[in-house]
Amino acid sequence: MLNRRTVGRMIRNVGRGFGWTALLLLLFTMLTGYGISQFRIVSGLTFEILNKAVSHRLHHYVEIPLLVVTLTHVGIAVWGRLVASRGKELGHEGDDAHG
Amino acid sequence: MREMMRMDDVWRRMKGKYVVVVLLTGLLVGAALAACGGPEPGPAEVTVVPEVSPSASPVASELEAVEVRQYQGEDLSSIDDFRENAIAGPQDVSLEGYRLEITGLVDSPLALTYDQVLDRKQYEKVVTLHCVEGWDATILWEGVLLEDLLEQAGVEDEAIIAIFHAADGYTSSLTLDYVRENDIMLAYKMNGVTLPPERGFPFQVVAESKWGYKWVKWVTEIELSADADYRGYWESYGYNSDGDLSGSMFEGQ
Repeated sequence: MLNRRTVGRMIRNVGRGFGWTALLLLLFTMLTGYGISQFRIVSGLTFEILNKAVSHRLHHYVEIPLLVVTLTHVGIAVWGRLVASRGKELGHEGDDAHG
Repeated sequence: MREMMRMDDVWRRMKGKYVVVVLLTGLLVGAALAACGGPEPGPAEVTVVPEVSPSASPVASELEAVEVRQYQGEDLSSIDDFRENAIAGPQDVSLEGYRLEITGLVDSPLALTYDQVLDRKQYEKVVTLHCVEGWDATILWEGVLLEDLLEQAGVEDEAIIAIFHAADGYTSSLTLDYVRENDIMLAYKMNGVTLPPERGFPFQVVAESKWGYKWVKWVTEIELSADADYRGYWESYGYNSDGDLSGSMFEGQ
């Protein structure tokens, strides 16, 4: 049986994972965005892999995942904090009972 | 009461760390909503420009051209509202030795000087250029009809597309049906000013209701072809060959 602390840690780890994924997607979105408007620079830096058309297509593909991952990250963080806060409160209640 | 305090506690802990994320999310949602309301091609009306002999207005030709910013009650963008996004940067095409070539499936290939191109009926119309990058510019374009040029060369029956070659090596194509049905122009002026070098001097295709990559600048050659599968520069990288504003931006979607 998982205790509250373990569950809280798991939630935090999952949230952290989503956070890093969101950050990577955000950086990728920025890179592909520059690949559209500053295609001569980005194309040169990426050995012609990210030309304007490829950047544009990838930029479109990554929009929704970035939104979903970011919202999930925020949602998990709020949930985790709520769980942690509740756990702490219950602990205090226990203290009160003992006190 | 306790529940409220708990929420307050959570909010206090989180606001510093996550306010940036929330703002970013809001920006993303806003961008997504803005992207949903894509561009709508507006009908463009072609007007014939009254013929004025250059010698009839010597004073006017000596004055510096002033950009028109309103036309028939419609606000126009500035010629500076464009972003530079040519494949090899702005081209400086000199009229010395310049020829607009009309080649391929034509009865008589032509090599016209700048003045020879302009020596025909001239038209003007307000058309909005929509770039795939997300910006647009509404400009009063002045030019000659491509149809008139093609007629002079005599298009062979099997020709179905016109391939435009630019001074920087860029290419794109338009179907002849589209060119004829929409009175597509080869512009030499924008907002009453001769095309600046960075905007495509001497000639730019005004491909209304098409994405900006179809608006070839610095046109040096128009090649008539029967190759229905022809792909221009950006089209060969995945942009849609039709380039219709109302259709998909990418091939195969």
